[in-house]
Amino acid sequence: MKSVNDWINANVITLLFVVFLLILFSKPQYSQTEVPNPVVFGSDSNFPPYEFLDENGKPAGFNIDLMKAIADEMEFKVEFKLGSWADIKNEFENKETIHVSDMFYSAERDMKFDYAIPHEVTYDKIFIHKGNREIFSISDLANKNVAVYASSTLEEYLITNYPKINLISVPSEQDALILLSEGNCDAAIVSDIIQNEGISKLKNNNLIVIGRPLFPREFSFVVKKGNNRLLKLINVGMVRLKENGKFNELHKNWFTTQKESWISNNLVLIISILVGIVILFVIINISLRALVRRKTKELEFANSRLKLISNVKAARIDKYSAQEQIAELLNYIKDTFKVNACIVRIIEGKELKLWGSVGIKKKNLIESFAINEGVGGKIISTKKAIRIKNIIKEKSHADSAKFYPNLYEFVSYAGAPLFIEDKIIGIIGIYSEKIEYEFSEIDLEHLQIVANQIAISIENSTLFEQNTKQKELLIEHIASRQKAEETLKASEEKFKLAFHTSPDSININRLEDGIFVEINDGFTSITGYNREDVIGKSSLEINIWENAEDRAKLVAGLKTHGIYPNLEVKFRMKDGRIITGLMSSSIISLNNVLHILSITRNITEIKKAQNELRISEIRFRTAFENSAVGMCLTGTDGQFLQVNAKMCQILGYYAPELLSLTFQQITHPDDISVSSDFIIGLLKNQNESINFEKRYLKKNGDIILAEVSSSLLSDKNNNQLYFITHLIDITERKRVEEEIRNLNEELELRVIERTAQLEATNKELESFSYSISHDLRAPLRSIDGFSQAILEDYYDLLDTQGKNFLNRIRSSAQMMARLIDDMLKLSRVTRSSINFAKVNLSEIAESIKNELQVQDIDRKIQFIIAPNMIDIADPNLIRAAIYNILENAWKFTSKKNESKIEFGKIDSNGKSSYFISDNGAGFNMKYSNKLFSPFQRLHQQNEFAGTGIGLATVQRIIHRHYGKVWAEGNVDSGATFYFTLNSQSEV
Amino acid sequence: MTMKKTILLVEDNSDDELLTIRALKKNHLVNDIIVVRDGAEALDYLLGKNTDDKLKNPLPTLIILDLKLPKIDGLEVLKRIRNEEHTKLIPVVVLTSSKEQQDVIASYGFGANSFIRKPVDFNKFVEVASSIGVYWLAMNEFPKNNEENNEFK
Repeated sequence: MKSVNDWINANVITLLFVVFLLILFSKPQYSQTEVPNPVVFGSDSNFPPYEFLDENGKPAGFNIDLMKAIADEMEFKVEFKLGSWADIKNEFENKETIHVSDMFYSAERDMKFDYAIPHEVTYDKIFIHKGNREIFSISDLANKNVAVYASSTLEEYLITNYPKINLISVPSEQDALILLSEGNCDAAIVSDIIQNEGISKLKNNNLIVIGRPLFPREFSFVVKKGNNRLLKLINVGMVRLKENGKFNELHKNWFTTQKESWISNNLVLIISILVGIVILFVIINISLRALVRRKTKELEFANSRLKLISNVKAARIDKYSAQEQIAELLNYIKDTFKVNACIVRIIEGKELKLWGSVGIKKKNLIESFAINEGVGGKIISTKKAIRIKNIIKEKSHADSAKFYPNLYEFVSYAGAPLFIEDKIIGIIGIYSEKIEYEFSEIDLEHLQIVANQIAISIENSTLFEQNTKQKELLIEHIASRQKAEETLKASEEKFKLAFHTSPDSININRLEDGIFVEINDGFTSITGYNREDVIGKSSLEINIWENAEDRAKLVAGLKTHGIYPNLEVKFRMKDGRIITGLMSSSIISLNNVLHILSITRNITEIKKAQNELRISEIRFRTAFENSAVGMCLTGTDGQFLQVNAKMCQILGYYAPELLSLTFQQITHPDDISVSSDFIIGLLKNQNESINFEKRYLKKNGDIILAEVSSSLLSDKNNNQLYFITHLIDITERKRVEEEIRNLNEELELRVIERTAQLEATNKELESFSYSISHDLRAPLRSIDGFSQAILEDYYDLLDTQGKNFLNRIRSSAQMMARLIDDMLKLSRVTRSSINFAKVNLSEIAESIKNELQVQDIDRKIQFIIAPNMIDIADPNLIRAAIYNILENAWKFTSKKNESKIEFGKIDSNGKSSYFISDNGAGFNMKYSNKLFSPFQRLHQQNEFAGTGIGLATVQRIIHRHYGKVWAEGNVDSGATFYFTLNSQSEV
Repeated sequence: MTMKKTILLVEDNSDDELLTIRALKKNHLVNDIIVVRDGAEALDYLLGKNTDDKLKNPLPTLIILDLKLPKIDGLEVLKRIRNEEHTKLIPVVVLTSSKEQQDVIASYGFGANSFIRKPVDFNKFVEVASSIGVYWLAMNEFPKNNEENNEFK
């Protein structure tokens, strides 16, 4: 009862607040509802002890008194109307004649009515006939006839939750018990409020309670929806009554003293009967008094036991005050049974664990012992209460002694199992120090009833707590599980996708033997193995490890750390290729079997590229360092970043010195602006690279001239990084070039000088030959002319010798004239400018033949000229040459009867030579070297006339055509003159 | 009408003058041979020292011109007479010792009618002179000179 009040008190504040809020925010029409005068309270006429009609037909009961008290407190008038609950409920719902009623709480009703603060919490209990062995719990009620209070929340509850029960609606709870008692149904379910009242009114109590209490319900006053003013009045009144103690007083009146009064009523009845008997037999049997006294004692005893049961029953143990309440309860049991100690133990697993005790020192208590040991074990195995008259005797049995080591101070014992339905949840034991105290069968029976009540209380409290807790936990659990499932599902989808689409190889193998369980497409595309190739086979079997030890290493690592990141391993592909993979593995559990999840990336190309890059870097570094030209990297600000050995050598600095300088600092001051202009051009991307010459200052102050090539390096994002510059020291080269240039200039000057000299000489020579041709001939003409004049004019005065002399003078003069002409020709050949053209030698020879023929028409000569001999030559000069040779041939064949002259061409060794042969006088080869010298003659003048200049002229002409001329011949058997022309190559 | 045919011989060498006249005369072709001994004399004769003297001397039928002359050489003389209206049509035969191509080309370029080299052999020289006389004085037709034109007027 205390717990109920606590609960109610605990909720009052909250409810008040809720009510306050409701008042504050409820709609105006509700708040304006008037409180009726008088307020009519309608309820059941047969629901003791809450409401019923007393022997005088007046309404009575706890709720009646409570309502009256509220009406007094809140100063409103109240009237009562009790009747059949079904009728009253109907009237309350549909008419305005009843304003307040009282009901158990249900969600359904809550929609129709407004509940006041609950003032009672009740449970329902299942009643059956004693001796019924079919029904043990509510689940056994299916298809049974069960009596319940019509229109109650219980009925609604059962219809909804246990539709298989055949419900018999009765007008009151009392009727339900009567119906059952008279054997008209199998069970009745009534609230615990009514049961005592009801059972006591039965003709014969042949009923027992089974199963756990059902369906805890709040019992409250109710008003119709919206009747806020009245609801508020009731609530405020209720709170005031609780505060001033009147509520408790009323409650006590009806639920404690009522029973006492019932008992005393009985007592009065019995006494009155006894008085009657005494009046009738007082004299006859005085000893009957003792009987009466004993009966009275028995009744008192029964009364006290009933009180005990009632109290135990009423006790509701909750978590927070369990120990306290247990102690109270056990003390009560101890006192009622008049024993020295009471212990309750609860089964936990295989042990009986101490749950509560009174009358025994803690140190003497065993916290727990096995459920199959000792008397406890006996109780549990037999499922029956037992009594032991003398424990000490039992202890004397050797095997039992160990079970009661701490109970030396007690002598008698009674114990009972704590049943919940037919399951034992623990035991209760009571102990007496009195020697030979024997517990009676009634004691045992009572103890069993108490045990049952305790069991229910324990179970209830545990269940109640567990229930709410578990419910919350369950809701929470379900919510979190749903969420987890959704998350899991989403993440599974995601990972599935990631697994299959990853370009990296992902495979799952059993840890134990390396059997492939799953692979992704990445695995196939990298290794060439498809699913059929590998699933169900081990990695060693398909020989994918180049070194099997790698797997051992992996497995060892995984077993130690669970994961193995970034293991570089060589794998053998399906086609035999070896690749390098970077593998990260982790142990995962699939269906409780350990697997290895491996993700492998093919880094063969990367490794290769890295290696190549490294080699290439070494190569380029070597090239850089060993370059024969100076090389450096310079920042865009001109700071040297890297220099090679040659660079240092050229500039005369050590590398560290250079690296602390900028190129501007070592540039010749006059060249800085030029350099800067080039650099700016590069930075503005006007040029890809630049080449220019500039001067540097060496460390020792020397100036060097260098040829510089620079280009700007940028990264992918076009950020300008640095310049790479090549530098060649061209100081020496420049000096040499300068020297050569000077020499060339000097040479040119000298050539001009020489040419001028030559030109002057030529001019001189020209005027000289001009003079010769004019002036040397004139005297010869005079000599010849006047000699002739003498011969003509003084012919008769001269003798033969004189005439002969004059003729000799004349012929000498003429000879000299020819010599002059030939010499002039020769000099003209040398002096004249040469103009090469395509000439037909055959045609030239033809024309010369005709010319010669004209001079001596009578001569018969066989002339053979090969046709179309075409070559490159100066037309005038080549004509002169051929003329000279042909004229010679003509001259030297003049003494032959049949002359033959041939002009042709022969090819030998890919070269063409022209020849002119004759069958004339020929010459002695001994003198062939003299043939082409000027003024050299091989024949006497009187034999063949000539100046000896013709062939010299021929040779000079042929030489001017870059050719050769030579002759073969024999005396009297002709001569052949050969010549070649190479002027073709000169054109 | 008998026309008096004169030859103007421009020759500085007296030997050549003598031999030339001798050769020409051997053929009896020449009535009158006027000899001038250098280029300046030749121009004086033909063009006069000033404009007044212009027409004092009768114009020759043929001019035999040597190239190598003192004072003004033959080519200059040729050029000048070809530039004068009344002398430009007179036939000029260049008779000289050389046959240098440059001289031959220049002579024709300035309007010479013939270019003949004096042979050393006198017999040949006579033949040449005879040929010149026959050709230029006997065979060749001249345009009528100004005097004659004037007479007819």
